[in-house]
Amino acid sequence: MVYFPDEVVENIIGFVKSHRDRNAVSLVCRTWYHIERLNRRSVFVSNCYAVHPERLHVRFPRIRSLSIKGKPHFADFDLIPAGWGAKADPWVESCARACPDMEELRLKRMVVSDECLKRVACSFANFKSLVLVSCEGFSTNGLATIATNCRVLSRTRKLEDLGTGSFVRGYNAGAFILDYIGDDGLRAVASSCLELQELRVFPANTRLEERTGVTEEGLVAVSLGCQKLISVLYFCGRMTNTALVTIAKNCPRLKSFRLCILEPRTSDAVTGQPLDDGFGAIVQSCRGLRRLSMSGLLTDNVFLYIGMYAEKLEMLSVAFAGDTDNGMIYVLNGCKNLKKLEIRDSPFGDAALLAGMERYEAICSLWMSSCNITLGACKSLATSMPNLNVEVMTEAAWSIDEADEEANNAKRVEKLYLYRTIAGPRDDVPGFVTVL
Amino acid sequence: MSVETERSSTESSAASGLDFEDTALTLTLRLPGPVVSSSSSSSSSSPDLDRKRASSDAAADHSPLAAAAAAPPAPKARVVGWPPVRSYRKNALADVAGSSKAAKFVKVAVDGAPYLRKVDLEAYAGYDQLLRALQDKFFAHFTIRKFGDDERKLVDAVNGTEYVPTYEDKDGDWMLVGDVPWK
Repeated sequence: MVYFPDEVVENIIGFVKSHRDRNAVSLVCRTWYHIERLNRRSVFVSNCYAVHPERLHVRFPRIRSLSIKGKPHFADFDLIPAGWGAKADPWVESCARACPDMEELRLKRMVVSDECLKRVACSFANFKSLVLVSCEGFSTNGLATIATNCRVLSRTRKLEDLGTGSFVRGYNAGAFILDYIGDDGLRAVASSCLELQELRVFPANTRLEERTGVTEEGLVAVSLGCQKLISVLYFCGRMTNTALVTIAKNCPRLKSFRLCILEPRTSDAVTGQPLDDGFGAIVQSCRGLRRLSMSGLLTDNVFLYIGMYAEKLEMLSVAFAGDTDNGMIYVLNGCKNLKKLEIRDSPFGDAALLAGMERYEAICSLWMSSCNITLGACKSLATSMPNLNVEVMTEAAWSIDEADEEANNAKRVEKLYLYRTIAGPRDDVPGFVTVL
Repeated sequence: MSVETERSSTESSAASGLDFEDTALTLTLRLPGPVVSSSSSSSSSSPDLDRKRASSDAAADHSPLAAAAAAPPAPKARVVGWPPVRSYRKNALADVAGSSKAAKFVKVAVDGAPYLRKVDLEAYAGYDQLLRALQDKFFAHFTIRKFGDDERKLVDAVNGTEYVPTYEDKDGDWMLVGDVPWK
């Protein structure tokens, strides 16, 4: 390959489509880096604060499609107050200046104003596709300007409009199902949708006191009938280790497994035990698992299993789980491919937080809320790791600069969000956020 | 997380002087402190937040026997952002499941409006939606001609004056006809 002319290399690289692979290509050597960057058509920015928009356009001057994610995942669940940030304006502005041939913008969890949409509508002659997922700040007026001004528009999709209610989109696609169908309905799915790859079962009623709907049996039935399952999102009232072991055995190809037992810390419905072994079975059996969300009663053991077996895991969501710092430490030490770690309401403290210091640059972002970490530990992390932005959300009652530093450092941090960045501290923090 | 749930419940029920629900099927727990509810028979539906927290801890600790024996669970404390369902989906789910809920109509008066309106609080998922609905009800009528609005209007064929049907309710307020479903 060394003596091929650049045009040939470029031609070959042109067949490499995925972001992952393209990123790998760019690391081979300087020549390939430059060929690749000039040839790249599509870039995905997983954190809008990780890099300045201008820098992106300098490296990739010829992109046609840009995907950007803003707020952390837990923003979806009201854990982040309004005004936190993630405005799309700087990105749209810099695209408008550097990239008039832009055809597609995909924004997720960003604040998009009508003015911003207008800028999009008026800046790109060939604009074809706008996808907004979990975004806010705009109205139908803004969307209307896109529709009227973009003559080549093929696709505007505000994913909030995706229908709920039960329908099964063919035999290969995902299924959106409300759980008022119940376990029997899922058995019907299991017997008729043998090619099913993605399953999502939402609670018909999110109020915890009404425990109707599906149980572990529904999911077991689907796992038996639909062994091509790749992705599961399942809200239910109860679960057992036996069921999880069965599911793990039946669906070793799972790449995403998100289980939400509605009541936090619910134990095995039959044995009363923690669900460590069940989730342990999932990570042992599903070697390609990339995403895992856990719930139910879980001790440090489940994290030991995850650290040991979940080699391909990229995103882990933890809620109301674990006993000691060891839980978090097992994951930090074990999961070498982890990119996103989000933890809420779990008893992990400073020792766990600081144990991961060397890991956080590789782990793109860490969210911790309602845990046991203190301001002092966060400050110390921020000082040691200049390539991380360490942001804490302060409660109204106390301020960062209080005179008594020792007492201040001992204060518990309610919400921590840290992420790797080459853009330095962001300059648009609201009052309730402090960048350490 | 409380391990001594049973002990604390006995202590607290003694302290508060309340009867421990002794039916075989009910597991009730209370933390020390005042209990709001006056009707003692419905203690399982008390809105006291401390009680809810205790019972949610208990749910985590319960043995299989207790789980099998427990009657419909006591109301749980609302945890922020839990279960993790996006709010738009919660709203959509509520719409679908929705009309079984009893309506909660309240009267709304706005200074300067010639008549009052009634809104069903159960129909809105949050303050944003409610405010938008109120805006539609009061200001759309006066400032912007709503195209295809479904207020019933009578138009005088001769001079084009519009009339809306109203009635006087038991409080002596003038209300627009149509806000409350006929049945």
